[in-house]
Amino acid sequence: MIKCDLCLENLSAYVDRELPENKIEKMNEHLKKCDSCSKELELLKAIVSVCEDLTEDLPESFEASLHKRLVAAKESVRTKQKKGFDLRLITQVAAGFILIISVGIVLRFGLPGGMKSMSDNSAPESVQMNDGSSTLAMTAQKAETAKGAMRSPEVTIAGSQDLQKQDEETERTMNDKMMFSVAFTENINANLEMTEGYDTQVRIETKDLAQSIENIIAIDEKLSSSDNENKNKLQGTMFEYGGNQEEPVQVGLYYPNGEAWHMFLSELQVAFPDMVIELVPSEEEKEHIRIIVKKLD
Amino acid sequence: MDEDEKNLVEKSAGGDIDAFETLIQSHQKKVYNIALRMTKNPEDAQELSQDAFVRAFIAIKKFRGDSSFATWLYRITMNVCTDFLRKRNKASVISIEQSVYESQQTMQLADNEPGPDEISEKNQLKKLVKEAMDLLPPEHREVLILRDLLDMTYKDIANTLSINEGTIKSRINRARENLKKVITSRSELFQDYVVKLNRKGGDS
Repeated sequence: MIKCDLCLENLSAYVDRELPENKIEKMNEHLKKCDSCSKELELLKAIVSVCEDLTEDLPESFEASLHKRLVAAKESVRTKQKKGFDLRLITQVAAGFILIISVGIVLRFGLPGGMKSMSDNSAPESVQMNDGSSTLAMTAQKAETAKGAMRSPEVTIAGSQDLQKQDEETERTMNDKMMFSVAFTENINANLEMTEGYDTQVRIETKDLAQSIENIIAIDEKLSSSDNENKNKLQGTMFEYGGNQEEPVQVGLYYPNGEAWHMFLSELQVAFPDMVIELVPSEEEKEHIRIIVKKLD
Repeated sequence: MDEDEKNLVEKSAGGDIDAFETLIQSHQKKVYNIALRMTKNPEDAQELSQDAFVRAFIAIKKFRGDSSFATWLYRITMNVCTDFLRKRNKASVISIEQSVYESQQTMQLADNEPGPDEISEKNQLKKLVKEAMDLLPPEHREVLILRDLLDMTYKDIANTLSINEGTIKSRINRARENLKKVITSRSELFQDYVVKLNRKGGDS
């Protein structure tokens, strides 16, 4: 028969009918014989019955004022989208002019020393740029540090229409792939920052998965910036792992601001120098760093 | 997600406010009550629950149906509330000893309030439990709200809060332990209620 402490530990789950059948039988067995636990059970049921009855009605004006806010939100999103489109168009046109002027200068005065090897008969239509143009301003910072999906695009100078097309294509590539990795060779601060709508995904490969999770818990504890929320999640992951899971272990952590986020990633980098960082679109409302730990054979 | 809900989600993603309002109709009271129990204040609760709906309306394009719409919406609500509490810097964890002390102070004040003849016993009990719940730390309040007010399973609570189910189980148990400590320290009213409930006979 189970003991009182185990019974009390499971009492809430018993009341909520969240225990498996075999545990319910053991609990019933104990509760029949133990007056003290039975009294606790009655008290708990009484509290739960009152808790279930605590809902209050909506304030009278609720729906009307919510409607106004939804209309305002829709309008605000529309305005932002329009502004974004206008800004992009202006940037594209400006970039087109800059490129045309640059090409004009190159044709008029020739290439600077370092670039003389480029064919002199390159007509404007076929001059190749080696990096993203300023039309990619929106994604330039990410493109600089990205690899894989975000290879530096080769832009053919043929007026702003093509540039716009290239821009759209690059954006589409980003949306399709929805991910771009960061070449993680320098300081995190120099390469990466918290980006609206994106989470930071960290991939770690390790021979000792349990130890790695413990190391991550230690780092989080050291920074203690998350009201134990991250610690609980990490310990939950540890509990789920159980030592024999073949699939990679995944946990989403929340850091309230850029500073805490940086500190955590920097510490993590020290512990796991080979880790790979990627930016991925946010899936959870409250998940800033997603860690995937894979066990190596 | 049933076809009607799917259809409403799609229309909402296209900016259809009417569709979104139909979609959230059955969730409004629940979302408001989550915010009310989290913030302990009707004005903040109205503001935050509406924040949650506005956020959901803007973000619904990203909703991919991996979880139920309700789970997704309650998750947003909880995040809005916990962010608010964090910012307000009132999310400090109160020790149970302190809670008991504070509740005893409240109890002395309550003696001057209208007696049982004027307020029904049930209402007094509700007030007692509500006040006790308000003394709990936010992470305990949130699991009790989702479990007892919204009648969610442990699995759904785990999904909503992105926390492991085992942690939810122990957290609910601890939260109720703490709630019980505060309540029993406050009044014999509850003991009487338990006795009455026993006479009627509980079914689980």
